[in-house]
Amino acid sequence: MGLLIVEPVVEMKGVSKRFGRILALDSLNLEMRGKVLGLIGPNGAGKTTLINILLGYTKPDAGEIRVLGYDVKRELMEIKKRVGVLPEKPGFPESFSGSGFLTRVARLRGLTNPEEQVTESLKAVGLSQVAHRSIRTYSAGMYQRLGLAQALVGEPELVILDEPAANLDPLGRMDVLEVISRFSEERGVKFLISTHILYDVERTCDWISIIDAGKIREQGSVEELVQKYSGLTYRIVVSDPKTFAAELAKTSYVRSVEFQDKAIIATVKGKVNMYEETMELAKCVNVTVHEVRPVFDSLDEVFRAVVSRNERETT
Amino acid sequence: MRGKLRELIAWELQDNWAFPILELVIAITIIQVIPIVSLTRGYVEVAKPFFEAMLFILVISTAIVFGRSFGEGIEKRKLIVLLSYPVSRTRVFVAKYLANLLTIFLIFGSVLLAEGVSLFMFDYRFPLVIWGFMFLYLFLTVFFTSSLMTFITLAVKRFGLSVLILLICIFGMEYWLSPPRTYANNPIAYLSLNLGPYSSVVYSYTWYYNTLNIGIGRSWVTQTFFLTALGYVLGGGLILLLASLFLINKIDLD
Repeated sequence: MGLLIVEPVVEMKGVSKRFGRILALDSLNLEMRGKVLGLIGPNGAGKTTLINILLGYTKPDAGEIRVLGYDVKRELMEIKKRVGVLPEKPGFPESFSGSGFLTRVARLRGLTNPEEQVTESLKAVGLSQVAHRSIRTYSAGMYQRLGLAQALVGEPELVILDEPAANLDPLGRMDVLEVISRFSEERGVKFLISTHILYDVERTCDWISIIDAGKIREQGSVEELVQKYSGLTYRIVVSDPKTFAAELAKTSYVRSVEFQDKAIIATVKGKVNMYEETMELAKCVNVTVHEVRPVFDSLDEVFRAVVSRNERETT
Repeated sequence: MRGKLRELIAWELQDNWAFPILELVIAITIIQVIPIVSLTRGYVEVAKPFFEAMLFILVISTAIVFGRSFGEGIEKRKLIVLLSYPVSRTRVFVAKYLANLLTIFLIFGSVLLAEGVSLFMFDYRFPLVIWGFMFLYLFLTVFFTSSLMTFITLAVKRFGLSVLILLICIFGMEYWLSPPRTYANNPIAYLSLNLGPYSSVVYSYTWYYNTLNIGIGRSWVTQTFFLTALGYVLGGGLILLLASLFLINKIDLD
């Protein structure tokens, strides 16, 4: 848990943003720590608005925002110097060649050796072969890779990617995830990824924030969240499953009991010391306990639980 | 600091070049030069038709170049990409404005050059200073139109819609300020894009010749009309430009 001591990469306090009648962000509080951060949420949850506010594209109605410790309102230029961005549906100048475009980006970033940086970025995303072709001729996948390359030029401290896997085929997606992992592990570049694809987040991120209806509903490390939301389901293996399951179903703390092969899958109603309760019940019904362990769900399950809980609360 | 502004201008010029500018230059040259080279006789045949015939072409070209740069830049999320690099909105605005202004001057400057070359070929002794006044006309018209167009585009954030609004504004003003509604002896008539830059040039031209004592002594443009026209075009353009600068720093790019 050493990660928690580190200063937050992104910090938002009481941030609100309204577009006409739509409240896009509602007194949002956010703290993201770690190396690869994931921002997930359903469509219209406020992900892109949040990223636009982080980068100064959109001004918030209220609240404080800090990125890498810098205040977005007062120190935006310092943030831009340290952050690479792949916006959602970016518009690159199509008359430029891939390498020509990246060279201009490198110069705007004030790099002293633009050609070297460009070559490295193109190599990292696998576009070296088509570097001299006009961007107009690029496929959707190449265009997205170019977006990743321009975000990586100059090796920024933090790279913000809004839907980085959009338009990519499964192999292309894997490549992007591989680039993220490599830059993060080998060069210490931090990433903030906003995406719908939970598998990508689960595979690459060490910290996630779940946003829905303009508020952060849950945040923490992937392990913590999975544990938190999976802690209510247990897998129990005993010598006489039928008898034990029947007795277990009668207890007040169990919500449901199911069978999975020879194991019992029990869902409890709240915080229960399941190990102690199981041992006691087993003694009463005279069965031997072989295994009691929590069932860890995927991030997909966590996400579903958080969003549906929010829907229940709002209705 | 200057390097980034230069880089942004170069970026914008390269992007502008993707637009069929060469074709535009050729088209305008043909429209403008053919009537002149057919039978040129002097100022009336060269400068005046240029001012009158070019107004519509100038307005449309300026609207397209500036609208494409700002409006389409917002619509197609090119501006968002540009602003993700360490450059301020003000610098991006200044670079875009200067690059587009340069683009327009390159287009119409080429046309004027083609005109001059064609006159030279016909061995016509034409006072070169008239070209200076043509450029003055060009500058005044383009400066006002571009400032108005930039302001409208940033306000509506849409390319097509902003071109439409600009045309309604400019030609609506022309309609209300032209005879028989308003006559040339009324200063209000000079608050138009047709008469404003043209009368400023006529006054300057007369003043130039009078100062050098080499010709014309009278002009239908009085000093009051001249100041009204120049104030409208330059002052109005400057106010719209500053308003656009304010707007680009305030708008949400979502």
